[in-house]
Amino acid sequence: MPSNSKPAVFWLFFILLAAVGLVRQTVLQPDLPIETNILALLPENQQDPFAQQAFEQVSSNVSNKVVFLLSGEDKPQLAAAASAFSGKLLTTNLFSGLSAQLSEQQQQAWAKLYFPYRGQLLNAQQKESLQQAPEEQVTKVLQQVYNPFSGVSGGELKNDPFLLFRDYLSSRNNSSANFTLYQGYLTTEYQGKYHIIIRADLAGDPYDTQLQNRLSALDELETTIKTMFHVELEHTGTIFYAAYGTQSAKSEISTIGVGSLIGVVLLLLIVYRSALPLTLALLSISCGLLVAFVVTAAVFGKVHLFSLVFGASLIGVSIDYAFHYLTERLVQKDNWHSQSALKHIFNAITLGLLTSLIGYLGLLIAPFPGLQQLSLFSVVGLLGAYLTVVCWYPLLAKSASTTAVPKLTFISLWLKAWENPKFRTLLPSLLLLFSLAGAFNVHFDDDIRQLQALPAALKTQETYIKTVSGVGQSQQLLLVKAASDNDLLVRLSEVGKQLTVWQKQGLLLNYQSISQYVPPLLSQKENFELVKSLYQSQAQNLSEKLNFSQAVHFDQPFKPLLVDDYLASSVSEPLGFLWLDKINGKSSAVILVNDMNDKQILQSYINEHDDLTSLDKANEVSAIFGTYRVHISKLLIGAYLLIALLMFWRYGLKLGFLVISPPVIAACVGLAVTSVAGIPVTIFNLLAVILILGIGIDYTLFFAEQKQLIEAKNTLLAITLSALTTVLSFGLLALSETQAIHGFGITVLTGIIVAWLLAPLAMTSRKVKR
Amino acid sequence: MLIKNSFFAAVLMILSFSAQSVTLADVQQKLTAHSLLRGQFTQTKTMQMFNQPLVSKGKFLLHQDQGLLWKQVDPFSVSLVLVKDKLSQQFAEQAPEVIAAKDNPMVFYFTHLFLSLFKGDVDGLTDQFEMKLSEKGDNWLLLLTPREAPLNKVFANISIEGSDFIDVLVLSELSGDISEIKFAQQQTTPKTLSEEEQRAFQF
Repeated sequence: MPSNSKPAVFWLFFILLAAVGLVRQTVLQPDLPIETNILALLPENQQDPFAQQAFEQVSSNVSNKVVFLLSGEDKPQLAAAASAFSGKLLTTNLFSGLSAQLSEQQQQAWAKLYFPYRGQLLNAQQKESLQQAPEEQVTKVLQQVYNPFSGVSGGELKNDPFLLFRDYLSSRNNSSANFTLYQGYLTTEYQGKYHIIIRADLAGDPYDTQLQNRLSALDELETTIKTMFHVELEHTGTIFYAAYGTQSAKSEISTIGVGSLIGVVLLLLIVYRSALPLTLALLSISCGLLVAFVVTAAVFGKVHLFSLVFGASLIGVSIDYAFHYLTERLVQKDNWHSQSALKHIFNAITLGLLTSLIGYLGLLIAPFPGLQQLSLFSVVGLLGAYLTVVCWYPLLAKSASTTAVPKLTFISLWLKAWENPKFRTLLPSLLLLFSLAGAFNVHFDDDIRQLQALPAALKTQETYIKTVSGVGQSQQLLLVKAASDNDLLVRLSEVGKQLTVWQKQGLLLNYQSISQYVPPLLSQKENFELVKSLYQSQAQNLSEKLNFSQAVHFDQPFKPLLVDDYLASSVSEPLGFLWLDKINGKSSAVILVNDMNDKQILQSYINEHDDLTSLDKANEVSAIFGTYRVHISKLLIGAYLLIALLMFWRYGLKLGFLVISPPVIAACVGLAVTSVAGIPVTIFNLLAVILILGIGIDYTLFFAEQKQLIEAKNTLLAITLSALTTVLSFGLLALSETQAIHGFGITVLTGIIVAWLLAPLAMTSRKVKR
Repeated sequence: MLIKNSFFAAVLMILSFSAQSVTLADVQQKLTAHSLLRGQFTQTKTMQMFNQPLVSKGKFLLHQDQGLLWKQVDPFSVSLVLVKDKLSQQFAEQAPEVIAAKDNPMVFYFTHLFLSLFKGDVDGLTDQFEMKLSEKGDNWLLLLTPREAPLNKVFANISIEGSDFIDVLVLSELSGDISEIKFAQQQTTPKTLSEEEQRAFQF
């Protein structure tokens, strides 16, 4: 135990070091070391590093895309709006490129890519008909040549007398089936309105807050376009969600931070009515937060916003050590001796710190970067606040308090109630009964999406854009691996066949796969042979029927169309990302499945094939969440048994039992209230339980540690203050828009209140009788 | 000099007068005046690929709301039914084949254009074509020059000639190939669709 100023100097040195560290991490850096990407919170796919890399490639590509949809009834007006909008879009500095008005070159890109290979490209239907009845192709040509609406030109007939290419090309274009070109813009008609789609690529990472700040310029531009041209303008993209997340996290941090700070200051002013306690309390809070931020940023490189939201609530917990010391000072008055006061509360606050640390350190075991950060942040923050109290308070608070102890009518009444033996058994039993009733209602939900606050307005826009463009509401990613590029194309087209079957059965809307654009080599060869034999058997026939002036013959050499040809063309811009860079020398690609209704059948198909993996980060993480919910439950029980043993060893069986039961009952009630309120229980509610146990036991410990009954009032005053601040900070978490944080807040809020209510149970009966 | 000048002015006046005598709005008004039009057509495709022009004949029915029936009888019989977003083709005695616009937008791009030309939907065409209206005897002649791809890659121009109805439609390709459709015996009565005709539009 410290009795001289050496530790104080050391601590000062450390704090100054931390302050320097903070300056280096923030002021001297171009960007604040704050992470906003929700994915950074999640564990990497440990079992399958391949899938993890694939996911990173895909997600970095997809998350950089932004889609705009302009809608209006007047088509030319709409095109004018699109032109004005796309002309100004790059001036927002948000985007590195955009695709709005397709140039003639871009429009011809598909035809240009495929034309040289037309003799080896056939769609499934064409292939079948050429195999079974090649003579029918002649009839089809006749029909189309005579048909005035088919638009067959002389040039086309010359280059492709069997008119195979036009059908192949239009079947490839099905992915953008809903759209036609109007003044070069991708345009579609839906519900009596015209819509133009504009795609843009972000100039950076969507989670980059500096990039997000430029969204206001986009907002202005959108408003101008909307009012100027009387069109509607919708947008969707990761950046909008990310910006919203950043914004709401920031406002939650400030609500919780400012709210609990104001609460703490008010409490301090009301109870201590003097400047010194206020200064001291704020000092320990700031030292705690300072050290926590600096250490976390140093260890993890960046502090996640999510940790900061939780971290802000640390204010309410780290103040506890200060409260105990300051209450001692308030009550002792003239007998005040700053060193012996510390001695007096040292055991209690140290035990309190240890139990809290056990709780928080438990979180470090979970392999979630998010939880580990949160845990480290809290552990360091608590230690910082504790050390500030222990090292500095005795030196800074030498003067005795001159203010009177506030009237504690309620506290006296509450303590008196506990002298009644019936009350002592009845209240805890009733609460226990309630929590048992709540236990039947518990509904577990490990869905990771609860971590994200999804604003309805953005979601509506996304749904609308998806509906209008007909891409389906939900996308599933299917990862396919193979040894070589061509093997991969073969596998892709095999999987594609199965997907086509399901599509015909109505199980899915459609799918996008590179094999739809680049057929495997073997199939190109087969097509080539089919086309060759078509010419051999039917050229004469066709020539006679149409009275051709020159002989029809097939003289194209076979030259394979490769994935690289596709990727080099501008047509690969929207979907080229499906083809992944080599991972560990292996080729891989992703198939995009839209609106799969029967997840079960797809999953079992995936399970049957070793080279298929479902890339579903949300589900994967949710599954891990589920596993860890069970793990943490076990860990929690383990940690608590450990704490119980510690208490039995120190206080004996009976008092030990009285010390540990209030927090346990409190935790049960917290969970019960949460489930009764209809909030699903997640891993986060278990974190809340850890907190309740860790903090709740502090309250009972102080009662158990007091030497005389007279101290009961002081103890209750101190824990009342700390309970109030805790409730204040975590109660504010319950206001969070993110369901997981909201649920966490509710559990902690009710748990802490109950822990505080029940804490006097740990006053020994002997002392109460006296 | 003076005489020459006044003569020139007179010519100018006649020119401007004649230019004003028929307007795009008039043409559109004429072509949409009848909700139902029946007649005969003769299509002649003159292409370098063919030794002789490809000629086909048949009957047509244009209904302003329903769409177009195109019944070729020579050299083989095929019927085409074109409605707003669907196209049905029936070849000889085979089952009809239906193509929906959303499944094949590329085909419908041209099909819609054709229907617009046929119906005299001038408004729908102004986006894609430069228009020049002139007179040819008692008839008007509308010359459409495509502004944008893909049309301007294929067609040099499209001309429509007519009086109360369209009489001739000529599609001239850049390559020199020409498709010409002549219409004859246009009738606006009976004013209602027969049951059979009505059925043809239901698919």
